[in-house]
Amino acid sequence: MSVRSVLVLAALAAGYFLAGKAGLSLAFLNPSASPVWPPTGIAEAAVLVLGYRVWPAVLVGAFLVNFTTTGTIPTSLGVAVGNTLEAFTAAYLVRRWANGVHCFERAQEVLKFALFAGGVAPTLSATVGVATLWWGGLAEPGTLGQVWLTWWLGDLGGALVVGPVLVLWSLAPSWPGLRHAVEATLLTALLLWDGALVFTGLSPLGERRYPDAFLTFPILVWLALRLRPRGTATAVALLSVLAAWGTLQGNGPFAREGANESLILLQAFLSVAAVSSLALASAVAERRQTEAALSDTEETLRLAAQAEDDRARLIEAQASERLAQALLHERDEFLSIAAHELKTPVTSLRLFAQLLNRQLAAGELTPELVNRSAEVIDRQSQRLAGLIDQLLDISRIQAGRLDLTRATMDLTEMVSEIVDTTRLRVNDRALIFRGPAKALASVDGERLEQVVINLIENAIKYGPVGSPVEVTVRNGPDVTWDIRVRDQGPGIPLEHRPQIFDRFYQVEATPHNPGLGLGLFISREIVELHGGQLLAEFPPEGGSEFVVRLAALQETADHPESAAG
Amino acid sequence: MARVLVVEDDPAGRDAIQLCLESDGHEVILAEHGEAALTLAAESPPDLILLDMRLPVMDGWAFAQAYRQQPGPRAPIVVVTASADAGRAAAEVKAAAFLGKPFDLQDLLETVARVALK
Repeated sequence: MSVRSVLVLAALAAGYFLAGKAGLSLAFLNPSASPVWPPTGIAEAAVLVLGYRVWPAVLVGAFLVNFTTTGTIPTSLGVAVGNTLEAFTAAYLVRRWANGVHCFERAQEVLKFALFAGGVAPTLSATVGVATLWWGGLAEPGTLGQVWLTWWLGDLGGALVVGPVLVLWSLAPSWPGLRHAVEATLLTALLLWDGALVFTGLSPLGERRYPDAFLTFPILVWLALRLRPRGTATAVALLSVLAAWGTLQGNGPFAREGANESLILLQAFLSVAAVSSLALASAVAERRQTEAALSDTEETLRLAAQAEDDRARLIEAQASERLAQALLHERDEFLSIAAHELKTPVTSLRLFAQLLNRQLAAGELTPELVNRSAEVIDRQSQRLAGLIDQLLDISRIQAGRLDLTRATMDLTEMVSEIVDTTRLRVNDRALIFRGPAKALASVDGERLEQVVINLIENAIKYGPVGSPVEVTVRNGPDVTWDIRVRDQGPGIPLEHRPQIFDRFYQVEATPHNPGLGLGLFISREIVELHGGQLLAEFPPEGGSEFVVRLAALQETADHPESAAG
Repeated sequence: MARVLVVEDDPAGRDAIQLCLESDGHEVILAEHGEAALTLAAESPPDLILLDMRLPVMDGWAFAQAYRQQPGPRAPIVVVTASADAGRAAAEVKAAAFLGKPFDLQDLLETVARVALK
């Protein structure tokens, strides 16, 4: 056993002894039974906080108190054993059922503490003690009941008034902050002022025996609401000292003819006051803790949400940066393609112009060269104009300024005319058209023609020479018209299908494939501006089929021709 | 006069270059892309190759690489491109010269004469 442990035990024994002597100074009924018995609180708190191993100190302290009072060893030993058992039992029950030293954190456990430490354990002590006194002949048999009650109430008061103060102050004494300390001091002072009015001769209230002890309750409640259990228990303990002193002076509501009776009444009151205010204080503390835990949880959730938010924003930023880079790359690629596509016809035009000039100067200009040049110049300037139109379309689309001028048109008429015109130019494959007598829709004729021409040109470009290109107008699902353009080409590789409507997309590896790769992109924009769809289908028997799906106009019975525009 | 292999995918461009070179007395062989050019070059070795870089099937870079791995004498290459960095493309394929589209008739004839008859 270390020196420190011995010192602790010695100090405990000494404390018990002194408190016991003070208590017994108020023993009026029997020298060994006092209605004010702080040692019970000291012993119970000590065993609860320091552990069962401190029992020898309690035993020694209790023995000495009694021995120095009665002078007989056996009875002193008996009483001491009873007192030690009391502390032991209280500590055991509170640890087992009421959360040990943390029993003042919840109202329910405060009440359990009151039951075990203030009710059960003192019953044991009082019974053993009074039996010992009777056995030792130190108590009149006729007074045993009264002595037992005094003993029991004294222990109860000690347990409930002194015990909590000691337990609570033994727990990591944290500085509650200046504001709280000032508030605690002021409230305690207010309680003591109130107690002085009620229990002492300071005021006429205290001089007479009005049943005005209840006047302390509002302030006790206030205390319990504002202070933690520790402050509340301390204030109650201080009030107890004041009240006991006042009552012994014959003042206050509990002053009776006999000091013992007065103190018993006071003990009962103080015990009730202590338990009630402690229970209330712990309930409030419990709520504050729950609130703090809740707000901690909320804070954690908020931080988690914020972190998630930040992460999402980062990912979004990264995605938009990637997108921006992709767009930049796409633009560079487009500029490179556009430069190539524009410069190629310009190169031919310049070379022919300069060649004509040179041959003319040399006197070697043949009609054949002039013919060929004229043909090239015509074709290449058309090609340039087409490229420029596409570029203009793209910039209109990007600016959101591709506007439609709609009119009611007959799709059969429009598409069949395009097919007829194309036939004049293309003689290496069959162009087949099928359609109903009339297919009315509200469209921008020029723009839709551009789409159909683009699809037919693609079909010719990608379909093998000699294979037919089929163009059909027919009913689509719901109330729509489908313009279908079908080629017998190689189709589009599966992995390229998702991109065919992208800007600049071109099927690679075809023998000759000029153009900006903008055709399908522009076509789809135009069709979608019409509220329609441009679809690509790849029938299992081969080839590609592009479908322009547009809302159909119903011919009204009243004006069958009016819609034909 | 030189035998010139013109590798160009644009028909009008091919036509124009052919007529220009023929007007200056050169013999011209035409190819649409790198693969066709490789075959033609092996069949009848040219004195000079006019090479467009952006080609279908086999582009200028791939052609140059394959051509240099062929046995036998190798003709100098003149890069013809619309790209802004024609010089870099020329360096990449170790070309003797380059012509940026659109080029003048004068440039074309002078470059061919200079490179082929060196």
